[in-house]
Amino acid sequence: MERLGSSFRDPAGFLFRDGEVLLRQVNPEYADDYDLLMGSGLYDALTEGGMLVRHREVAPPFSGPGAGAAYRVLRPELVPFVSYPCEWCFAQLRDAALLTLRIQDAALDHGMTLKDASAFNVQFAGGAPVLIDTLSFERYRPGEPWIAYRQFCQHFLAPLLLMSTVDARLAGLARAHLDGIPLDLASRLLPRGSWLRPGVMLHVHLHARSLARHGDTALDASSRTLTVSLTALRGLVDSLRSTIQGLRWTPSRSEWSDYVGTRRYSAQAVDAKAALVRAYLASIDPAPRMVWDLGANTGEFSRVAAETGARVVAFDVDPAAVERNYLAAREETGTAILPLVLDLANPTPGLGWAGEERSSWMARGPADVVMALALLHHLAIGNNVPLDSVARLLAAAGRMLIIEWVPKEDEQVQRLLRSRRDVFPGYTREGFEAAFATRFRTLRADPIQGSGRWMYLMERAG
Amino acid sequence: MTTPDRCSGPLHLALLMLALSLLVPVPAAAYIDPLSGSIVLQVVAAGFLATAFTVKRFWRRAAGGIQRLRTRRRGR
Repeated sequence: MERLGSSFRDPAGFLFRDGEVLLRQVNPEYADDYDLLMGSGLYDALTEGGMLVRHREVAPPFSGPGAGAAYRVLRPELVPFVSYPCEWCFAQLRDAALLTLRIQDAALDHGMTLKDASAFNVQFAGGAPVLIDTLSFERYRPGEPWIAYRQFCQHFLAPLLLMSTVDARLAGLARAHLDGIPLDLASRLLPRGSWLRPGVMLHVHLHARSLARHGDTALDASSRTLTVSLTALRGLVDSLRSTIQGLRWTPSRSEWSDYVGTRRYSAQAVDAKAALVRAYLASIDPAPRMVWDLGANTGEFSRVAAETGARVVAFDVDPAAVERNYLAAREETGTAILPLVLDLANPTPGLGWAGEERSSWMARGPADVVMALALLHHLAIGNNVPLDSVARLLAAAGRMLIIEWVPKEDEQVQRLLRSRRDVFPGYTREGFEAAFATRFRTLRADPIQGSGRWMYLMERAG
Repeated sequence: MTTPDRCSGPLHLALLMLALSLLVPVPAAAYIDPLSGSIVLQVVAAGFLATAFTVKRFWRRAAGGIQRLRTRRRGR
Protein backbone atom coordinates (compact mmCIF):
# COMPACT_ATOMS: atom_id res chain seq x y z
CA MET A 1 0.00 0.00 0.00
CA GLU A 2 1.41 3.30 -1.05
CA ARG A 3 -0.30 6.63 -0.46
CA LEU A 4 0.21 9.00 -3.40
CA GLY A 5 2.42 12.01 -2.75
CA SER A 6 -0.13 14.29 -4.42
CA SER A 7 -2.99 13.29 -2.15
CA PHE A 8 -2.68 14.66 1.35
CA ARG A 9 -4.46 18.00 1.54
CA ASP A 10 -8.11 16.98 1.34
CA PRO A 11 -9.60 15.58 4.59
CA ALA A 12 -12.36 14.01 2.48
CA GLY A 13 -10.05 11.19 1.38
CA PHE A 14 -6.91 10.28 -0.48
CA LEU A 15 -5.46 8.17 -3.29
CA PHE A 16 -3.32 5.14 -2.74
CA ARG A 17 -1.91 2.27 -4.75
CA ASP A 18 -2.57 -1.37 -4.01
CA GLY A 19 0.05 -2.95 -6.24
CA GLU A 20 -0.75 -1.67 -9.70
CA VAL A 21 -4.29 -0.67 -8.78
CA LEU A 22 -5.10 2.94 -7.99
CA LEU A 23 -7.72 3.37 -5.28
CA ARG A 24 -9.36 6.32 -3.57
CA GLN A 25 -10.35 6.17 0.08
CA VAL A 26 -13.41 8.14 1.17
CA ASN A 27 -13.09 9.20 4.79
CA PRO A 28 -16.09 9.06 7.16
CA GLU A 29 -16.24 12.86 7.44
CA TYR A 30 -17.07 12.97 3.72
CA ALA A 31 -19.79 10.31 3.95
CA ASP A 32 -22.76 12.69 3.71
CA ASP A 33 -21.34 14.55 0.74
CA TYR A 34 -20.38 11.32 -1.02
CA ASP A 35 -23.86 9.92 -0.52
CA LEU A 36 -25.37 13.13 -1.87
CA LEU A 37 -23.09 13.02 -4.92
CA MET A 38 -24.17 9.47 -5.69
CA GLY A 39 -27.81 9.80 -4.64
CA SER A 40 -28.68 13.21 -6.10
CA GLY A 41 -28.08 12.15 -9.69
CA LEU A 42 -25.05 14.44 -9.99
CA TYR A 43 -22.58 11.57 -10.40
CA ASP A 44 -24.71 10.01 -13.16
CA ALA A 45 -25.20 13.33 -14.92
CA LEU A 46 -21.50 14.13 -14.88
CA THR A 47 -20.22 10.70 -15.86
CA GLU A 48 -22.81 10.30 -18.65
CA GLY A 49 -21.70 13.68 -19.95
CA GLY A 50 -18.04 12.59 -19.86
CA MET A 51 -17.26 15.33 -17.34
CA LEU A 52 -16.22 13.17 -14.38
CA VAL A 53 -14.26 9.91 -14.32
CA ARG A 54 -16.33 6.88 -13.49
CA HIS A 55 -15.50 4.75 -10.49
CA ARG A 56 -16.71 1.62 -8.88
CA GLU A 57 -16.87 0.96 -5.20
CA VAL A 58 -14.53 -1.76 -4.03
CA ALA A 59 -16.51 -4.08 -1.85
CA PRO A 60 -15.25 -4.63 1.67
CA PRO A 61 -13.21 -6.18 3.09
CA PHE A 62 -10.54 -3.89 1.84
CA SER A 63 -7.35 -2.62 3.27
CA GLY A 64 -5.40 0.54 2.84
CA PRO A 65 -3.46 3.14 4.70
CA GLY A 66 -5.97 4.01 7.41
CA ALA A 67 -8.40 1.51 5.93
CA GLY A 68 -10.10 0.89 9.23
CA ALA A 69 -11.46 4.40 9.09
CA ALA A 70 -12.59 4.31 5.46
CA TYR A 71 -16.21 5.00 4.59
CA ARG A 72 -15.78 3.72 1.03
CA VAL A 73 -12.92 2.73 -1.22
CA LEU A 74 -13.30 3.63 -4.89
CA ARG A 75 -11.55 2.31 -7.94
CA PRO A 76 -11.56 5.16 -10.48
CA GLU A 77 -11.12 4.71 -14.21
CA LEU A 78 -7.61 5.80 -15.14
CA VAL A 79 -6.63 8.43 -17.66
CA PRO A 80 -3.94 7.27 -20.12
CA PHE A 81 -1.38 9.85 -19.02
CA VAL A 82 -1.33 12.34 -16.16
CA SER A 83 -0.46 15.84 -17.35
CA TYR A 84 -0.16 19.15 -15.55
CA PRO A 85 -1.49 22.63 -16.38
CA CYS A 86 2.02 23.94 -17.02
CA GLU A 87 2.22 21.40 -19.86
CA TRP A 88 -1.05 22.43 -21.52
CA CYS A 89 -1.51 24.76 -24.43
CA PHE A 90 -3.96 27.67 -24.30
CA ALA A 91 -6.92 25.75 -25.73
CA GLN A 92 -6.42 22.89 -23.27
CA LEU A 93 -6.46 25.24 -20.29
CA ARG A 94 -9.49 27.05 -21.72
CA ASP A 95 -11.37 23.78 -22.25
CA ALA A 96 -10.48 22.66 -18.72
CA ALA A 97 -11.75 25.98 -17.34
CA LEU A 98 -15.05 25.75 -19.20
CA LEU A 99 -15.46 22.14 -18.05
CA THR A 100 -15.00 23.22 -14.44
CA LEU A 101 -17.72 25.86 -14.85
CA ARG A 102 -20.08 23.36 -16.52
CA ILE A 103 -19.52 21.03 -13.59
CA GLN A 104 -20.22 23.82 -11.09
CA ASP A 105 -23.50 24.56 -12.91
CA ALA A 106 -24.46 20.89 -12.80
CA ALA A 107 -23.49 20.67 -9.13
CA LEU A 108 -25.73 23.64 -8.27
CA ASP A 109 -28.56 21.96 -10.19
CA HIS A 110 -28.19 18.99 -7.84
CA GLY A 111 -27.82 20.86 -4.56
CA MET A 112 -24.04 20.61 -4.46
CA THR A 113 -21.08 22.87 -5.18
CA LEU A 114 -17.42 22.45 -6.11
CA LYS A 115 -15.24 22.96 -3.06
CA ASP A 116 -12.09 22.71 -5.19
CA ALA A 117 -11.44 24.24 -8.58
CA SER A 118 -7.84 23.16 -9.04
CA ALA A 119 -6.61 22.73 -12.60
CA PHE A 120 -4.69 19.68 -11.34
CA ASN A 121 -8.05 17.97 -10.83
CA VAL A 122 -8.63 18.01 -14.58
CA GLN A 123 -6.99 15.57 -16.97
CA PHE A 124 -7.34 14.83 -20.67
CA ALA A 125 -8.68 11.62 -22.17
CA GLY A 126 -9.90 11.09 -25.71
CA GLY A 127 -9.19 14.70 -26.63
CA ALA A 128 -11.41 16.16 -23.94
CA PRO A 129 -10.91 17.31 -20.37
CA VAL A 130 -12.39 15.31 -17.52
CA LEU A 131 -12.55 15.91 -13.76
CA ILE A 132 -10.70 13.20 -11.88
CA ASP A 133 -11.34 14.26 -8.29
CA THR A 134 -14.57 12.60 -7.24
CA LEU A 135 -14.36 14.17 -3.81
CA SER A 136 -14.43 17.78 -5.06
CA PHE A 137 -18.11 18.25 -4.23
CA GLU A 138 -19.94 19.27 -1.10
CA ARG A 139 -23.51 20.07 -0.19
CA TYR A 140 -24.57 23.54 -1.27
CA ARG A 141 -25.86 25.58 1.65
CA PRO A 142 -28.19 28.39 0.58
CA GLY A 143 -26.49 31.76 0.82
CA GLU A 144 -23.00 30.30 0.81
CA PRO A 145 -20.48 32.01 -1.54
CA TRP A 146 -18.38 29.87 -3.90
CA ILE A 147 -15.50 28.78 -1.75
CA ALA A 148 -13.41 27.78 -4.79
CA TYR A 149 -13.84 31.11 -6.59
CA ARG A 150 -10.36 32.40 -5.83
CA GLN A 151 -8.79 29.07 -6.77
CA PHE A 152 -10.65 29.02 -10.07
CA CYS A 153 -9.48 32.54 -10.90
CA GLN A 154 -5.87 31.70 -10.00
CA HIS A 155 -5.74 28.32 -11.74
CA PHE A 156 -7.66 29.18 -14.89
CA LEU A 157 -8.68 32.78 -15.50
CA ALA A 158 -5.40 34.50 -14.61
CA PRO A 159 -3.14 32.32 -16.78
CA LEU A 160 -5.61 32.38 -19.68
CA LEU A 161 -5.79 36.17 -19.54
CA LEU A 162 -2.03 36.52 -19.35
CA MET A 163 -1.52 34.13 -22.25
CA SER A 164 -4.11 35.76 -24.47
CA THR A 165 -3.53 39.43 -23.70
CA VAL A 166 0.14 39.64 -22.69
CA ASP A 167 2.32 36.74 -23.86
CA ALA A 168 1.72 33.02 -24.25
CA ARG A 169 5.07 32.32 -22.62
CA LEU A 170 3.59 33.46 -19.31
CA ALA A 171 2.04 30.00 -19.18
CA GLY A 172 5.38 29.09 -17.62
CA LEU A 173 4.29 30.88 -14.43
CA ALA A 174 2.07 27.90 -13.70
CA ARG A 175 5.14 25.81 -12.95
CA ALA A 176 6.30 28.28 -10.30
CA HIS A 177 2.85 28.84 -8.77
CA LEU A 178 1.21 25.48 -8.14
CA ASP A 179 -1.86 27.02 -6.53
CA GLY A 180 -2.38 29.22 -9.53
CA ILE A 181 -1.07 32.62 -10.45
CA PRO A 182 -1.57 35.03 -7.53
CA LEU A 183 -4.23 37.54 -8.54
CA ASP A 184 -2.18 40.54 -7.43
CA LEU A 185 0.59 39.41 -9.78
CA ALA A 186 -1.86 38.84 -12.63
CA SER A 187 -3.44 42.24 -11.97
CA ARG A 188 -0.04 43.91 -12.15
CA LEU A 189 0.97 42.12 -15.35
CA LEU A 190 -2.25 42.78 -17.26
CA PRO A 191 -2.46 45.93 -19.37
CA ARG A 192 -4.34 48.91 -17.92
CA GLY A 193 -6.93 48.60 -20.65
CA SER A 194 -8.07 45.32 -19.09
CA TRP A 195 -9.78 47.39 -16.35
CA LEU A 196 -12.36 48.32 -18.97
CA ARG A 197 -13.45 44.71 -19.40
CA PRO A 198 -16.07 44.07 -16.69
CA GLY A 199 -15.21 40.40 -16.21
CA VAL A 200 -11.48 41.06 -15.90
CA MET A 201 -12.05 44.03 -13.65
CA LEU A 202 -14.24 42.06 -11.27
CA HIS A 203 -12.59 38.64 -11.23
CA VAL A 204 -8.96 39.74 -11.33
CA HIS A 205 -8.39 43.40 -10.48
CA LEU A 206 -11.05 43.95 -7.81
CA HIS A 207 -10.61 40.39 -6.61
CA ALA A 208 -6.89 40.98 -6.06
CA ARG A 209 -7.57 44.17 -4.16
CA SER A 210 -10.25 42.58 -2.05
CA LEU A 211 -7.91 39.71 -1.17
CA ALA A 212 -5.22 42.17 -0.14
CA ARG A 213 -7.63 44.28 1.83
CA HIS A 214 -9.40 41.49 3.65
CA GLY A 215 -6.58 38.99 4.02
CA ASP A 216 -6.65 39.48 7.76
CA THR A 217 -10.40 39.47 8.07
CA ALA A 218 -11.88 36.63 10.07
CA LEU A 219 -15.30 35.70 8.81
CA ASP A 220 -16.76 34.44 12.08
CA ALA A 221 -20.32 33.46 12.89
CA SER A 222 -21.58 37.02 12.64
CA SER A 223 -20.18 37.25 9.13
CA ARG A 224 -22.52 34.54 7.98
CA THR A 225 -24.98 37.27 7.31
CA LEU A 226 -22.73 37.90 4.30
CA THR A 227 -24.67 35.72 1.90
CA VAL A 228 -24.79 35.26 -1.83
CA SER A 229 -28.05 34.21 -3.46
CA LEU A 230 -28.19 31.20 -5.75
CA THR A 231 -28.99 33.52 -8.67
CA ALA A 232 -25.90 35.59 -7.88
CA LEU A 233 -23.83 32.42 -7.65
CA ARG A 234 -25.08 31.33 -11.06
CA GLY A 235 -24.36 34.86 -12.27
CA LEU A 236 -20.80 34.53 -10.99
CA VAL A 237 -20.32 31.29 -12.92
CA ASP A 238 -21.95 32.80 -16.01
CA SER A 239 -19.76 35.89 -15.81
CA LEU A 240 -16.62 33.75 -15.52
CA ARG A 241 -17.77 31.68 -18.49
CA SER A 242 -18.46 34.78 -20.64
CA THR A 243 -15.06 36.19 -19.74
CA ILE A 244 -13.26 32.98 -20.63
CA GLN A 245 -15.25 32.36 -23.80
CA GLY A 246 -14.19 35.82 -24.95
CA LEU A 247 -10.50 34.93 -24.68
CA ARG A 248 -8.59 33.93 -27.80
CA TRP A 249 -5.00 33.17 -28.52
CA THR A 250 -3.83 33.31 -32.10
CA PRO A 251 -0.28 32.05 -32.26
CA SER A 252 2.11 34.08 -34.34
CA ARG A 253 3.87 32.17 -37.10
CA SER A 254 6.44 30.18 -35.22
CA GLU A 255 9.28 28.23 -36.61
CA TRP A 256 7.85 24.95 -35.45
CA SER A 257 4.15 25.18 -35.99
CA ASP A 258 4.92 26.20 -39.55
CA TYR A 259 7.43 23.43 -40.01
CA VAL A 260 5.13 20.95 -41.72
CA GLY A 261 4.22 23.55 -44.32
CA THR A 262 7.74 24.74 -45.01
CA ARG A 263 9.95 21.70 -44.57
CA ARG A 264 12.45 21.19 -47.35
CA TYR A 265 12.52 17.47 -47.82
CA SER A 266 10.34 15.83 -50.41
CA ALA A 267 6.90 14.29 -50.14
CA GLN A 268 8.60 11.03 -51.11
CA ALA A 269 10.82 11.28 -48.01
CA VAL A 270 7.82 11.99 -45.79
CA ASP A 271 5.97 8.96 -47.13
CA ALA A 272 9.08 6.82 -46.74
CA LYS A 273 9.51 8.04 -43.17
CA ALA A 274 5.88 7.30 -42.30
CA ALA A 275 6.18 3.83 -43.86
CA LEU A 276 9.25 3.06 -41.76
CA VAL A 277 7.61 4.30 -38.55
CA ARG A 278 4.57 2.15 -39.34
CA ALA A 279 6.70 -0.92 -40.09
CA TYR A 280 8.86 -0.50 -36.99
CA LEU A 281 5.87 -0.11 -34.70
CA ALA A 282 4.18 -3.13 -36.25
CA SER A 283 7.29 -5.23 -35.61
CA ILE A 284 7.33 -4.54 -31.87
CA ASP A 285 6.03 -7.41 -29.80
CA PRO A 286 4.03 -7.03 -27.63
CA ALA A 287 2.29 -4.18 -29.42
CA PRO A 288 3.03 -0.90 -27.69
CA ARG A 289 0.29 0.57 -25.52
CA MET A 290 1.99 3.90 -24.83
CA VAL A 291 4.11 5.86 -27.29
CA TRP A 292 5.86 9.13 -26.50
CA ASP A 293 6.48 11.21 -29.59
CA LEU A 294 9.21 13.66 -28.60
CA GLY A 295 9.42 16.77 -30.74
CA ALA A 296 6.08 15.82 -32.25
CA ASN A 297 5.41 19.22 -33.81
CA THR A 298 1.77 19.20 -34.95
CA GLY A 299 1.51 15.43 -34.56
CA GLU A 300 1.87 14.14 -38.11
CA PHE A 301 3.77 11.02 -37.03
CA SER A 302 1.89 10.77 -33.74
CA ARG A 303 -1.11 9.92 -35.90
CA VAL A 304 0.88 7.23 -37.66
CA ALA A 305 1.70 5.76 -34.24
CA ALA A 306 -1.92 6.03 -33.12
CA GLU A 307 -2.94 3.81 -36.08
CA THR A 308 -1.40 0.87 -34.19
CA GLY A 309 -3.93 1.32 -31.37
CA ALA A 310 -1.39 2.80 -28.98
CA ARG A 311 -2.00 5.86 -26.83
CA VAL A 312 0.34 8.60 -27.97
CA VAL A 313 1.58 11.54 -25.95
CA ALA A 314 2.84 14.12 -28.43
CA PHE A 315 5.35 16.42 -26.74
CA ASP A 316 6.69 19.58 -28.29
CA VAL A 317 8.48 22.65 -27.00
CA ASP A 318 6.42 25.04 -29.10
CA PRO A 319 3.03 26.01 -27.62
CA ALA A 320 1.80 27.00 -31.10
CA ALA A 321 2.51 23.54 -32.50
CA VAL A 322 0.84 21.92 -29.48
CA GLU A 323 -2.16 24.21 -29.89
CA ARG A 324 -2.59 23.16 -33.51
CA ASN A 325 -2.13 19.51 -32.63
CA TYR A 326 -4.68 19.72 -29.78
CA LEU A 327 -7.27 21.55 -31.87
CA ALA A 328 -6.93 18.85 -34.54
CA ALA A 329 -7.02 16.02 -31.98
CA ARG A 330 -10.12 17.50 -30.36
CA GLU A 331 -11.97 17.02 -33.64
CA GLU A 332 -10.95 13.35 -33.89
CA THR A 333 -13.56 11.45 -31.91
CA GLY A 334 -11.97 9.51 -29.08
CA THR A 335 -8.49 10.46 -30.22
CA ALA A 336 -5.57 8.51 -28.80
CA ILE A 337 -3.31 11.56 -29.02
CA LEU A 338 -2.54 13.86 -26.12
CA PRO A 339 -0.46 16.87 -27.19
CA LEU A 340 1.59 18.52 -24.43
CA VAL A 341 4.13 21.31 -24.15
CA LEU A 342 7.52 20.04 -23.00
CA ASP A 343 11.02 21.41 -23.29
CA LEU A 344 13.29 18.38 -23.34
CA ALA A 345 16.18 20.61 -22.33
CA ASN A 346 14.23 21.55 -19.20
CA PRO A 347 11.44 19.01 -18.65
CA THR A 348 8.87 19.24 -15.86
CA PRO A 349 10.64 18.37 -12.58
CA GLY A 350 9.03 16.91 -9.46
CA LEU A 351 6.94 19.73 -8.02
CA GLY A 352 5.24 20.69 -4.78
CA TRP A 353 5.77 19.34 -1.30
CA ALA A 354 9.03 17.40 -1.03
CA GLY A 355 9.18 17.56 -4.82
CA GLU A 356 6.75 14.63 -4.81
CA GLU A 357 3.35 16.24 -5.03
CA ARG A 358 3.52 16.34 -8.82
CA SER A 359 5.68 13.79 -10.59
CA SER A 360 8.48 14.77 -12.88
CA TRP A 361 8.07 14.11 -16.58
CA MET A 362 10.45 11.17 -16.39
CA ALA A 363 8.70 9.63 -13.37
CA ARG A 364 5.51 9.40 -15.41
CA GLY A 365 7.20 6.95 -17.76
CA PRO A 366 8.66 4.88 -19.10
CA ALA A 367 6.77 4.58 -22.37
CA ASP A 368 6.71 1.38 -24.37
CA VAL A 369 8.11 3.23 -27.36
CA VAL A 370 9.81 6.60 -27.67
CA MET A 371 9.86 8.28 -31.06
CA ALA A 372 12.54 10.92 -31.65
CA LEU A 373 12.01 11.99 -35.24
CA ALA A 374 13.96 14.95 -36.60
CA LEU A 375 14.89 15.73 -33.02
CA LEU A 376 18.45 14.61 -32.43
CA HIS A 377 20.14 17.54 -34.19
CA HIS A 378 18.14 20.03 -32.11
CA LEU A 379 19.35 18.42 -28.90
CA ALA A 380 22.93 17.71 -29.99
CA ILE A 381 23.59 20.87 -32.01
CA GLY A 382 20.84 23.29 -30.98
CA ASN A 383 21.34 22.61 -27.26
CA ASN A 384 24.95 21.32 -27.16
CA VAL A 385 23.86 18.08 -25.49
CA PRO A 386 26.45 15.29 -25.99
CA LEU A 387 25.11 12.32 -27.93
CA ASP A 388 25.67 9.89 -25.06
CA SER A 389 23.61 12.18 -22.77
CA VAL A 390 20.79 12.09 -25.31
CA ALA A 391 21.07 8.29 -25.40
CA ARG A 392 20.90 8.14 -21.59
CA LEU A 393 17.75 10.29 -21.49
CA LEU A 394 15.99 8.31 -24.21
CA ALA A 395 16.93 4.99 -22.59
CA ALA A 396 15.29 6.15 -19.37
CA ALA A 397 12.22 7.37 -21.23
CA GLY A 398 11.26 4.16 -23.02
CA ARG A 399 11.92 0.49 -23.70
CA MET A 400 12.02 0.82 -27.48
CA LEU A 401 13.29 3.73 -29.52
CA ILE A 402 12.52 4.88 -33.05
CA ILE A 403 15.05 7.57 -33.86
CA GLU A 404 15.89 9.51 -36.99
CA TRP A 405 19.48 10.33 -37.80
CA VAL A 406 19.80 13.72 -39.50
CA PRO A 407 23.27 14.19 -41.03
CA LYS A 408 25.24 17.38 -40.77
CA GLU A 409 24.81 18.00 -44.51
CA ASP A 410 21.03 18.16 -44.06
CA GLU A 411 19.51 21.56 -44.69
CA GLN A 412 17.90 21.63 -41.24
CA VAL A 413 21.24 21.02 -39.54
CA GLN A 414 22.92 23.58 -41.75
CA ARG A 415 20.29 26.10 -40.64
CA LEU A 416 21.30 25.48 -37.02
CA LEU A 417 24.98 25.89 -37.90
CA ARG A 418 24.46 29.00 -40.00
CA SER A 419 24.95 31.43 -37.16
CA ARG A 420 27.40 29.50 -35.04
CA ARG A 421 30.75 27.78 -35.18
CA ASP A 422 30.68 24.07 -35.86
CA VAL A 423 32.06 22.63 -32.63
CA PHE A 424 30.47 19.23 -33.18
CA PRO A 425 33.11 17.03 -34.82
CA GLY A 426 31.55 14.00 -33.11
CA TYR A 427 28.19 14.59 -34.80
CA THR A 428 28.57 11.84 -37.38
CA ARG A 429 26.54 8.75 -38.08
CA GLU A 430 29.35 6.61 -36.69
CA GLY A 431 29.54 8.79 -33.56
CA PHE A 432 25.76 8.53 -33.12
CA GLU A 433 25.77 4.74 -33.48
CA ALA A 434 28.68 4.40 -31.04
CA ALA A 435 27.02 6.65 -28.43
CA PHE A 436 23.70 4.82 -28.61
CA ALA A 437 25.32 1.35 -28.68
CA THR A 438 26.20 1.78 -25.00
CA ARG A 439 22.50 1.82 -24.07
CA PHE A 440 20.61 0.32 -27.00
CA ARG A 441 20.71 -2.65 -29.32
CA THR A 442 19.95 -1.69 -32.92
CA LEU A 443 17.26 -3.92 -34.43
CA ARG A 444 16.84 -2.13 -37.74
CA ALA A 445 18.43 0.72 -39.63
CA ASP A 446 17.08 1.97 -42.94
CA PRO A 447 17.82 4.95 -45.16
CA ILE A 448 14.89 7.29 -45.64
CA GLN A 449 14.41 7.43 -49.39
CA GLY A 450 14.51 10.92 -50.83
CA SER A 451 16.71 12.29 -48.05
CA GLY A 452 20.15 11.69 -46.59
CA ARG A 453 18.57 10.65 -43.30
CA TRP A 454 18.38 7.26 -41.62
CA MET A 455 15.79 5.67 -39.37
CA TYR A 456 16.70 3.30 -36.53
CA LEU A 457 14.69 0.92 -34.41
CA MET A 458 16.48 0.26 -31.14
CA GLU A 459 15.79 -1.77 -28.02
CA ARG A 460 17.06 -0.70 -24.64
CA ALA A 461 19.95 -2.90 -23.54
CA GLY A 462 19.72 -4.62 -20.18
CA MET B 1 -29.18 43.83 -32.36
CA THR B 2 -27.78 44.91 -29.00
CA THR B 3 -26.73 42.03 -26.86
CA PRO B 4 -27.49 42.10 -23.16
CA ASP B 5 -23.75 41.83 -22.46
CA ARG B 6 -23.04 45.05 -24.32
CA CYS B 7 -26.06 46.70 -22.84
CA SER B 8 -25.06 45.88 -19.28
CA GLY B 9 -21.33 46.65 -19.75
CA PRO B 10 -21.19 50.36 -18.79
CA LEU B 11 -23.77 49.84 -16.06
CA HIS B 12 -21.79 46.90 -14.79
CA LEU B 13 -18.65 49.00 -14.75
CA ALA B 14 -20.24 51.91 -12.91
CA LEU B 15 -21.86 49.67 -10.35
CA LEU B 16 -18.68 47.76 -9.73
CA MET B 17 -16.71 50.96 -9.24
CA LEU B 18 -19.32 51.82 -6.65
CA ALA B 19 -18.87 48.37 -5.17
CA LEU B 20 -15.18 48.99 -4.84
CA SER B 21 -15.85 52.05 -2.76
CA LEU B 22 -18.04 49.93 -0.53
CA LEU B 23 -15.22 47.56 0.28
CA VAL B 24 -14.77 49.10 3.69
CA PRO B 25 -12.05 47.69 5.94
CA VAL B 26 -13.28 45.14 8.45
CA PRO B 27 -11.50 45.01 11.83
CA ALA B 28 -8.59 42.58 11.73
CA ALA B 29 -9.11 39.37 13.64
CA ALA B 30 -6.98 36.73 15.22
CA TYR B 31 -6.27 34.53 12.21
CA ILE B 32 -5.63 35.03 8.56
CA ASP B 33 -8.22 33.65 6.19
CA PRO B 34 -6.94 33.88 2.62
CA LEU B 35 -10.48 33.42 1.34
CA SER B 36 -12.05 36.34 3.17
CA GLY B 37 -11.34 38.81 0.39
CA SER B 38 -12.82 36.43 -2.16
CA ILE B 39 -15.97 35.97 -0.10
CA VAL B 40 -16.38 39.69 0.59
CA LEU B 41 -16.07 40.43 -3.13
CA GLN B 42 -18.77 37.89 -3.98
CA VAL B 43 -21.08 39.36 -1.36
CA VAL B 44 -20.52 42.93 -2.58
CA ALA B 45 -20.90 41.99 -6.25
CA ALA B 46 -23.84 39.62 -5.66
CA GLY B 47 -26.52 42.15 -6.51
CA PHE B 48 -24.89 43.09 -9.79
CA LEU B 49 -24.14 39.49 -10.73
CA ALA B 50 -27.71 38.43 -10.02
CA THR B 51 -29.13 41.37 -11.97
CA ALA B 52 -26.84 40.85 -14.95
CA PHE B 53 -27.60 37.12 -14.98
CA THR B 54 -31.35 37.65 -14.72
CA VAL B 55 -31.36 40.25 -17.52
CA LYS B 56 -29.20 38.02 -19.70
CA ARG B 57 -31.43 35.01 -19.10
CA PHE B 58 -34.56 37.06 -19.80
CA TRP B 59 -33.01 38.44 -22.99
CA ARG B 60 -32.01 35.00 -24.20
CA ARG B 61 -35.52 33.68 -23.61
CA ALA B 62 -37.07 36.71 -25.31
CA ALA B 63 -34.68 36.41 -28.26
CA GLY B 64 -35.43 32.69 -28.47
CA GLY B 65 -39.18 33.39 -28.43
CA ILE B 66 -38.90 36.00 -31.18
CA GLN B 67 -36.82 33.60 -33.25
CA ARG B 68 -39.43 30.86 -32.85
CA LEU B 69 -42.22 33.27 -33.84
CA ARG B 70 -40.32 34.31 -36.97
CA THR B 71 -39.67 30.70 -37.89
CA ARG B 72 -43.36 29.88 -37.43
CA ARG B 73 -44.43 32.83 -39.61
CA ARG B 74 -41.98 31.83 -42.32
CA GLY B 75 -43.40 28.32 -42.13
CA ARG B 76 -46.88 29.67 -42.88
